[in-house]
Amino acid sequence: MNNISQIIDIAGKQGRTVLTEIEAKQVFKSIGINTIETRLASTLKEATAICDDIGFPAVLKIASPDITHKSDAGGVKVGLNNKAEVRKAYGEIMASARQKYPTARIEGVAVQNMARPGIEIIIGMFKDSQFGPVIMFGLGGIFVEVLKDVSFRLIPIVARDAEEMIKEIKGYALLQGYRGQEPAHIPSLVDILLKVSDLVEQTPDIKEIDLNPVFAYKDSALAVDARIVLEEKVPE
Amino acid sequence: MNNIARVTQDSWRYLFSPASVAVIGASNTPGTWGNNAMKGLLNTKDRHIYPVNPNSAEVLGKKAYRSVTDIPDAVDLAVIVVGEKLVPVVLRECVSKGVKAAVIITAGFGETGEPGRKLEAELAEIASQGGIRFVGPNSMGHADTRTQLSTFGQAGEMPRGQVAVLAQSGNMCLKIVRNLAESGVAFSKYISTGNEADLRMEDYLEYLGEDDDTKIIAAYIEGLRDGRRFFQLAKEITARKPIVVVKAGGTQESARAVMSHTGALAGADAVYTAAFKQSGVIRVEDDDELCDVVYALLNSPLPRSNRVGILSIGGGPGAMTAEACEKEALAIGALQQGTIIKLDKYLPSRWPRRNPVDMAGPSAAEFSVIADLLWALIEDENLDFIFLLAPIVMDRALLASRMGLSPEAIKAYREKEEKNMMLIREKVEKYQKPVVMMWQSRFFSNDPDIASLFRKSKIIVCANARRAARVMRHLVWYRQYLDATLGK
Repeated sequence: MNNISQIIDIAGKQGRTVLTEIEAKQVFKSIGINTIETRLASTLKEATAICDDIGFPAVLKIASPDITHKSDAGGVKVGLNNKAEVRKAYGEIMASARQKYPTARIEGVAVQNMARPGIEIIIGMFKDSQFGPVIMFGLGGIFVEVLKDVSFRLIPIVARDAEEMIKEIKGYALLQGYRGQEPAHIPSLVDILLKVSDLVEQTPDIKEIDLNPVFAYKDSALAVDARIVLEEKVPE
Repeated sequence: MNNIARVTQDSWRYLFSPASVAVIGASNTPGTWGNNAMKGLLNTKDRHIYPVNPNSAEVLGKKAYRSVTDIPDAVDLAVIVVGEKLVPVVLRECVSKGVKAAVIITAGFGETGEPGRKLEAELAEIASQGGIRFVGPNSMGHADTRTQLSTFGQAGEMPRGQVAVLAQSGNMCLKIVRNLAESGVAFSKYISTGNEADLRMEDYLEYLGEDDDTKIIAAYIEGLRDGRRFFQLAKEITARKPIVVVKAGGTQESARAVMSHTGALAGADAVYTAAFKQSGVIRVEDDDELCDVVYALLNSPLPRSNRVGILSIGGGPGAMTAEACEKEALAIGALQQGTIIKLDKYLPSRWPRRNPVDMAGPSAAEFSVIADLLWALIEDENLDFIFLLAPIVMDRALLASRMGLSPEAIKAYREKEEKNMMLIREKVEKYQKPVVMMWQSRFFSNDPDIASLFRKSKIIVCANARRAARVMRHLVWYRQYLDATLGK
């Protein structure tokens, strides 16, 4: 938890209520959620070195505390297969970000592996004005956007709640595997839900969480993107 | 805001068992709130009732006072039915009189918009400064059958019972109360909570959770003011007494209607659903379903699981019922081999040897046959509850016309029916398996004998298969919730 309070402190001191992607992923990694490894590269040289280390294909995303909608800023490039593609992507991301957000502080790019595709899951948390922290589970992509196929529970949850909320969604059959697609490993998803619930219970400073997507595989699950919004600090 | 202080036992006592009540705005004009409230309060002689009306010397034969402050004795409870602009004035007078609790019937506050909200906040402020706890405003009243107190204005003695009703709408409160009363259900307390400027749904829930007279809590909710507190309380209470809730605001239009109604915040409905599920609260769709579930909870054990046995007088009703059950995620239980052998003895050889069991036409006169079949199903370990679709109770008109029975013979027939129903009741108790009968309704107002028969035998009765299946789904769910949370 120490690690987490440090991250939150730093954001607070910088007057930020949104953690960077790398910070958010550090938080989830530190509570034992399987998270795709994402490192910060502040130069092109660092970016290519990280790619050498973690392998291809790679994903580059703009790393800036001031840019939260990275895709809109032309700040995300996926499926980069070699150093040349990484170089080109790096240049384009920087140019686009500087053009669209001229005043943004840019730390560099977040470099990560291209995750093996799995069943897209979304896990989130928000604070309801009546009931306080609420955890959400759903299928990602069009299922959450169009069909709003999500389930909720109040935090804290126990294992039974997590299992129920997974079974409750209309698309549950998709998680059990269909047409030869591999099923989702339910215990891994239950585990993430419980860990998020614990995290929120112990960290009242967190206002919102988005793990979107989480890829579910037949034997595990992997958080691919992560977002944490903090409560507005009341000035002392 | 207000409401920080938890409600004391003294406040509840003044509210539900006051020794003296002032009706401020009491009236001699029939049909007015001030007249109704007086009439209801005069039901019992055990309590001092003081009408307050500056323009009359007497109200309903009681000496009237110009102001609550003119009443010579102590006043525990004030019922306020004056125009909304006068309510703050009157409430201040109550404070100086030392009144302990109030019910504000007057409407025209937070539900009407900003000026009303301000007026309502003023009431809360006056009361909290003056140490008065109150129901409302915009309440239709409250009632306690143990102390025979009613500010709703109903006349007559109220039978004591085990069901409490809480409603954020006075009309829904009375609708639920009347519906259940016609099914022979009696109440411990019922409260139209109104705008909840002081006492809130959560306060009443906490109180009823501890109330020994109350075994089941039914609530009509539009929006909560402290959802988290409701959740915590419900979680604790449902472990020992069921809470059944109908909540409006599930659709966009209903949410808007609710907003303009009590001014409560209708929170995201999905979050309410989650909170209810997680705290063991049975959420139903509407007030009819609420009454069905309350009636069943009151009269029946909880089914162990979801496997239904259907015993039907004919193929059609059995098929309808099976379909309704499957839609509600109930399982049509597979009969044990032993049961099939037992049934072979009583049924024609062409019976299909599976559930639903089609009796293929014994007449109602042959209860002995129906009984043997029913006992066999109740004893089947693959079945958790039974739907009985047979006219083992017949209304007077049928008995007279089709069976040509004289009034004396009808009476004798009724006695036989009652004995049969009590036999079923015994089996239900012994095996802890609910039996559900289908009937046009539970009260069957054309034939009061039947209504009282249902009341006495305490068999679950539902108007149709869909409603019956829905009720059993709720009971199964509640049992499974209890088993999972209490680790049974």
